Amino acid sequence: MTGTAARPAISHSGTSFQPDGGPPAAEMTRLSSFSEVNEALKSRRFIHVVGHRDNAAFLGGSLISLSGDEHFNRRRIAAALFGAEPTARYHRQVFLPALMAALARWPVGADGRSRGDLAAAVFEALSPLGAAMVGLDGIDSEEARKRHILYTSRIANGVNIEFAERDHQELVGEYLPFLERFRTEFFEPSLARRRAIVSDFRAGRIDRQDLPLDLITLMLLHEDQFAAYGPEAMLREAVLFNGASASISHGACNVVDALLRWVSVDPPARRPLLSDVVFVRRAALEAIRYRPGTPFQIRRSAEDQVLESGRKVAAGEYVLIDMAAANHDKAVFGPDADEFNPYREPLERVRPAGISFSNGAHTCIAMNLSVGDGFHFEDGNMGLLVATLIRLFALDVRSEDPAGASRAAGTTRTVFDRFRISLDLAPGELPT
Amino acid sequence: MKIVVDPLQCGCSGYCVKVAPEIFAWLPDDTAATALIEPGTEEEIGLAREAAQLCPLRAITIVEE
Repeated sequence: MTGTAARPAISHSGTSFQPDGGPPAAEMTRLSSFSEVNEALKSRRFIHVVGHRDNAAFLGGSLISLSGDEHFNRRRIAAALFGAEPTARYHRQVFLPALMAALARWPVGADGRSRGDLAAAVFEALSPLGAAMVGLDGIDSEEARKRHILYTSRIANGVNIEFAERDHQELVGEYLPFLERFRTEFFEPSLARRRAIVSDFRAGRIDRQDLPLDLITLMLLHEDQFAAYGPEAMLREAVLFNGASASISHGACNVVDALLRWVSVDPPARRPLLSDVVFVRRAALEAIRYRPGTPFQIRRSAEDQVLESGRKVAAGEYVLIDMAAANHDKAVFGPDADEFNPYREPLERVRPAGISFSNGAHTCIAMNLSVGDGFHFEDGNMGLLVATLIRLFALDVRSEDPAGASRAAGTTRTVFDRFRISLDLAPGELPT
Repeated sequence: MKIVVDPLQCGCSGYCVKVAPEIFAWLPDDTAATALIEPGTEEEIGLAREAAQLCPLRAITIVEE
């Protein structure tokens, strides 16, 4: 049986992005079959396109804006943050306790059920995680935590500005003051403290193993690699890693919405969601395949080439890679590709989430943190999203909105930024 | 120490080939990376471990023998 959620809108227009010297996105050759998309993402004959973006004030010169060796060198610096040990620590010691604390603060109704917005709770729980990963101090108090969440959410809007429906320059003007507050209140004091620690390390006063493991410290250890990108480069790298909160909270709304729609049609399907971790992972990855958060990517062909499909692509030609269309390719995912089906059989060489985390050199750096390795359902690291699902279904999660999760307004992206749910969670009860 | 690259899981990031070209290479059809040698020196072992950590799809397994 398959679910009833509507076919997701495929958004590949409405972006202001235009590569330097290239055509607007809407005029590029569009690759939409899974085979062509996968080949273009993995191939070294296609180059990740860098150009002027309206979000440059937030991410210009950061990892996500780089290509080739520059991108590799930056990724190499940050890789230590995503090893097994830090990933497990962020997950179990930072995120889950913060999520449970956020849920426990929800008001409880006369029926004994607590109610609140899932997107806000996940976003709130990701605040200490983003701070720990970047190395931001000073968010321990309630007031500081609220300010950190506010700045992060506004900066996330700035990061995704090229998909906004309002005038982009006006929006940059609205969101930049939050970046400045983030800089002065959190980033610069943390940078100064770590600069002193790194200085002590360089002078031989402390050992390498005593350095904090966070992005700011790693950047300071490789400061020469940021110098060429201007004085804002380290701040913008911090913005990138601090701001994964928005995409993960959107992802949580997406997967919970898909699963609640599913069990509303097939109530017995709630049972495996309570007891079968492998099934929960499978269902989460299927939801991410069904509605990918990134609508498209752009590449430029490095040479005249013929794709396996027979399509000819000329040297220098720009291609728009349609992620959602690839994830709904019936030739790969079968005749029910347009439907959410958590029982979908795994495919060889195709990850269960399809192309949602991209492929090749620009594969999402946070994929392991979000969903584990994205391939093996039995892998020990289940990721934040799956852990969230397991806790929510253990608390008998129910949708409080007949329409389900709310699609974010004012953007051409299909993302969900609000989802009112209820839980069987008594006041003061703090599940683990 | 032995290195195993899962060709089905390899996403062709190319990071392993960049970080340790003396240990990793592309398969002839470019569909995945593969390990050329078993690392012997301390430097090779360190680079193999870094390649495994860099791999976004966790396609590289280091088997201690």
